[in-house]
Amino acid sequence: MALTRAETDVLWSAAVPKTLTGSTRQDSDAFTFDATDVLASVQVNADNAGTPASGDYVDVYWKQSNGDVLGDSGDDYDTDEHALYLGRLDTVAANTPGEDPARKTFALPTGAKGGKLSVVGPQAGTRNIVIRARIHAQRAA
Amino acid sequence: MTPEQYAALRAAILTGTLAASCAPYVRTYEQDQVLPKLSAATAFEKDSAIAAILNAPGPTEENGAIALDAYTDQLIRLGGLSTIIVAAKSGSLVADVALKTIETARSMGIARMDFSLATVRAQHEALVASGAMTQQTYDALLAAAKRRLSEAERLLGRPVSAAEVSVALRYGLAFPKPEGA
Repeated sequence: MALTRAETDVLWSAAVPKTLTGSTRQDSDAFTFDATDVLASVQVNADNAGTPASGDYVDVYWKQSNGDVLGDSGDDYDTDEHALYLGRLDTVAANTPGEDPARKTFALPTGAKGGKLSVVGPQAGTRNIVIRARIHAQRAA
Repeated sequence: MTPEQYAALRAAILTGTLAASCAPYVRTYEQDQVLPKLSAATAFEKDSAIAAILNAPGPTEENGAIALDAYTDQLIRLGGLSTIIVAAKSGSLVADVALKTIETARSMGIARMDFSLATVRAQHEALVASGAMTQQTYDALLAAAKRRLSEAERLLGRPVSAAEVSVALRYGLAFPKPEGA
């Protein structure tokens, strides 16, 4: 059995990138792990569209799904406040860490059907923040 | 900081007495709408330069604050505390109030005696007028509290940070962009 790589862009309404234009949380399109994925990570890039000011950060979450937990129709994902908090990307150099663009890789739990990347930038109403993300999975295929 | 304090900081940077010195380093939200964005590092350098200008001591000496420990130490060294105690024991109300003020400030954790406040100066002048403090002691205390106040101290009572400058100029999280801005 060999290990292989699978790389996938995180899509937002079937497009890349996602521009945060307000302080409302934005969820990506659903991502489904392959049954042979044994390890996975997501790299997230946050690029401030303006000159950063303190508070220009993005909080990154992973909303995992184990399928149709409610037994109604489609897959169900972790709710906003109970999603897995991955971390914060801060674009302000006055803070440490703080860079623009800010890019960080987070480990994803593969013991699930899949999930959605969820981002929220409280200050994005004043300065747009452009999000790009890519998932890398190691497959035992 | 409150939004009102950020608004005052923004006004001090853009139109205050140090506006001309700050101008080369200013990058406002409004400028950002028509100019290419600055890198985070450049923005930090500019915001830091403005903070340094606002935190620099001003040109003239003014009444400022003295740490309460330093104040009482000075008072004891000059013999002023014993004079106040004797006056209080002799029935001087202003002397008694002065002692109670020091005790209360200590118990409440108030860390400084601020001679920029008219009430504090008036209390000491009343002590001098009643004979519970010598003019020499009062002058020495005032001299110890003299400071060249920075613009930031005048505005906020403390130094300002580059992060706070960034918020004031470009409407950061704690200072929302006003409607129509």
